[in-house]
Amino acid sequence: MNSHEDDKLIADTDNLLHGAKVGSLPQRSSAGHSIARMSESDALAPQVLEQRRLIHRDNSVRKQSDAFREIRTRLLWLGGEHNFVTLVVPVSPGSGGSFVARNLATAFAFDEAKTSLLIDCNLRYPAQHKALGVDASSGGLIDYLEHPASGIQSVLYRTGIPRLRLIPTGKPRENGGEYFSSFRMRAVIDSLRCRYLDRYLFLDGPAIKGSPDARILSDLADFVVVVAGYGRDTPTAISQAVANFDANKVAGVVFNHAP
Amino acid sequence: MSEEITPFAAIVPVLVTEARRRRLALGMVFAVTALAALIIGVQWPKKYDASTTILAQESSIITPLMEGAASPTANANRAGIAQAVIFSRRVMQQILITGGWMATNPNPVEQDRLIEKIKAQTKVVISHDNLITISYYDSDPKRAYDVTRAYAQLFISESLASKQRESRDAFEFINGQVEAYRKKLTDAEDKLKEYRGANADARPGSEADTDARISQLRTQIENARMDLMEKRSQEASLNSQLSGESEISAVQTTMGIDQTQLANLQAQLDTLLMSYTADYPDVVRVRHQMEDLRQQIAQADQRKQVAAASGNSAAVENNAQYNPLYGQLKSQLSSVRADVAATSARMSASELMLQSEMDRSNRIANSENMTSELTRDYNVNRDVYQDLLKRRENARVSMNLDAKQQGLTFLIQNPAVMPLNPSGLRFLHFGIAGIFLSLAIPLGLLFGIARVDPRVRSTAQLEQSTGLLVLATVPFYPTPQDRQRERLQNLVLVIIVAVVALAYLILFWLKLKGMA
Repeated sequence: MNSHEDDKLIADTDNLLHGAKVGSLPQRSSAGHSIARMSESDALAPQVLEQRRLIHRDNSVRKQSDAFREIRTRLLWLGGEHNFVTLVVPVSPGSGGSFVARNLATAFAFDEAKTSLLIDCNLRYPAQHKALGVDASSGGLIDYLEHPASGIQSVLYRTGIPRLRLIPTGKPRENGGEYFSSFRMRAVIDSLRCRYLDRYLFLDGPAIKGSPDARILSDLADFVVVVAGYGRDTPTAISQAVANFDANKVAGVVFNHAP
Repeated sequence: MSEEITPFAAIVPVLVTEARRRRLALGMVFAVTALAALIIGVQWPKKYDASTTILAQESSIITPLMEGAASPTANANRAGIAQAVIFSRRVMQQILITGGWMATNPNPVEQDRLIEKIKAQTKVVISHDNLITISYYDSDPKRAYDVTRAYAQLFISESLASKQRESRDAFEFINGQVEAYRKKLTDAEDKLKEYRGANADARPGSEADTDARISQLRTQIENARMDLMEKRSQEASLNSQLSGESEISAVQTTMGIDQTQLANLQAQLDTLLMSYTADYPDVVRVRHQMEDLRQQIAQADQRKQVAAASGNSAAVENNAQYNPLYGQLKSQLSSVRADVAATSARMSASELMLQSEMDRSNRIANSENMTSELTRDYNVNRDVYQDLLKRRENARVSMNLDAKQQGLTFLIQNPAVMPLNPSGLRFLHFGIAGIFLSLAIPLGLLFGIARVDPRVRSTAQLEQSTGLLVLATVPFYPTPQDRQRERLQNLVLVIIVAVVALAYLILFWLKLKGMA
C-alpha cells in the first residue's frame, strides 16, 4: 500500500464518487509489473453499487455475482496462464451487453491478484461512463486514437471499484470500424495487455445485429462472449450472430435477464 | 435450430417470469375484463318469461253426438297455422294496445318496428300436433304476463271466428248448390214430360207391355198352327175312312130282309104243315106270302141286273138306303173342315197382330234411347239434389254449432302466470363469467406469448435450440429504484385486485339486497 497514493485518493474521494480521472496521478506503471501498486481503498458502498447495477461481495446480490464468477472461472480456464482480451457483445441492442461486460470486469477485479480494464467500444451508444459514474471529460478511446500524444494515462479512469479501470469511448463517432481495424488500435490493445500480466481487458462491443463493429472487434479479442437477452432474440438469430465469429474464439453465450 | 413447441413443463417457469415482468399490464387486463363484465351484467336487460299452453282438442263431447250430422272444423289444422294466426296484423295491433305501446301514439313505421320486436320476443311451439305453447319475454314482468294472456285469448277468439266463418261459408255454398240442382232437376223433369207428351209410345213400361203382347201372340200362333195340323191330319184320316165306306148299303140289305122273311115264312109253313093240311087257310096265306116274297126278290134281282147293265144308280135309290156310318163320317169330316178354316183364319189374324206389335216394339226401342237419356239426367240430378239437401241440413247444424260455440275445442291448458323471477342471463352469470374471463384472458395472453413468440426465454431452450454453450444465466439485477418500482407495482396490483373484488362484492351484495 502506497501511503502517498492513499492520501491522495482519500483527498479525491468526492471526485472519485463522481468519476474523477486518475490521469493526473503520477505514472508508475513502469516502476513495476505489480498489481499491489494499483490497489485502492476507494471502494464504493454497496448501495451505490446496487444503484449502478454493479455486483459486490454482499449477500444481497449473491445470485448475480455467482453467475459472473462462473463466467470468470470459465474464461480463466480457457485462457490458461496468460491474461487475455474478452469481447462482450449483445446479439441485439437492449440485451444488456454493457451490463454483462461491466460486471464481468468487476468479477475479475474481485480477485485481488487481478486487475481488469473495461474499454467501451460502443461508439454509437457509449454507456459505460454513465453507468459507472465516471466523468469522461478528459476524453476517451477515440481521443487517444486520434491524438496519441496525450498519452494513454489520460483516458484511463478509476471507477470506484478496486482494480477496475475504464476507458470510455470519448467523442461519439458514427463509424467505429475504421478505428477498430486500424493498426494503432491493435497496438493500443496489445500494449495495454502486455503492460501488466495480471490485467484482463474487456471490450464492450456494439450489438451484432445491424453493425459490423462487433465482427471487427473480435479480431482484437481472444475470447468472445455473446450476450442473449431474455425474450429478445430467436434461436436462429442467436445462432447466426454467433456464426459471425471465429468458432475458437467464442467462449459461449450468456443468457441475461435484462429488464 | 428448430423452433419446436416447448413442452408444458418447460413453459411454466417462462409463464411465471413473464407474469412477473408484465404484472401491471396483466392486472389492467384483469381489471378491465372483470369490470366490463360487471358493467355489462348490471346493464343487461332483465328478461321475464311468460308462457301459456292451449290445447286444441281433437274431439269434444259433442263430436260423437253429432256424428254424421255435423262435421267439426278441424282443430289440428288450426294448430298448424297457429303462428300465422298469432302473428297476424289484427292480433298484433291488439297486442300493441294491450302491452301499452300505443300509449305514445307511435307512427306506422314505429308500430311496424315494435311489432317486429314483439314477434322476435314471441315463440310459438306446437307439440303433439295439438298443443300450442306461446311464450313471450319482456323486461317488464307485468307486460310479459298481459301480452301472453292476450295472445292466448286472441288466438282462441280468432280461431273461433274463423271457424264460424268457415262453417257459414260452407253452409252458404251448399245452399247455393241446392238451389242450382233444384233448377236442373225441374228442367230435366220438364224435358222428360215434354218428350213423353210428344211420343205416346214413350211411356214407362210400354216396352214390357209390348214384349208380353208379342210373346202372347206368338204362343197363340203356335197353338193355332198345332191345332191346324191336328185338324188336317183328322181330316185326312176321315177322308181315308170315308173312302172305304160305301155310300149306300140298301141293295144288300133289302134282299137280306126278304130272304130272312122268306126263311121265317118257310119255318112258319113247315110248322103249320105239321099240324095242318096244305089247304088250311093259314097255310095258303103263308104260301102266298112266300110267293110274293119270291116275286119281290126276283124283281129286285132283275132291277139290279138292269141297273148294273145301264149303270144307273138312281134306279137303285128308290129302294136304296144310305149307309149310317158313312153319314156320320161325312158329318165329322165336314165339321173338321170347318174347324180348319176357322183355325187358319185365327192364325192369320194373330200374325197380323204380331206384325203390328213388332212394329210398335221397334218404335218403342227408338224412343227408348231418348227416354233413357232424359231419365238418366233426371235421376242423376235427383240423386245429387237429395244428397245436397241432406248435406245442407248437416251444414246448417255445423254452422249453428260453431255459432253457439258449442264446438269449442280450444282449451287453455296452462294459463299465463305473472313471472316473478327473470330468466336468461342474470347478473350472477355475468359475475361468474367476468371472474372466469378476467382470469382466463391474462393467462391466455401469457400462454400465447410463451407459446407463440419464438424468442428465447429460457436457458434450456437456448441450449437446446442453438447447441451453443451457455456460460451462465444472469438473473435480473434490480437497483433500489427497480425494487421500489416493483413494490409500487405490487401495490397497484393489489389495489386493482382489491377494487375489482370490492366492486364485485358490493354489487353482489346490492343485488342480494335488491332481491330480498
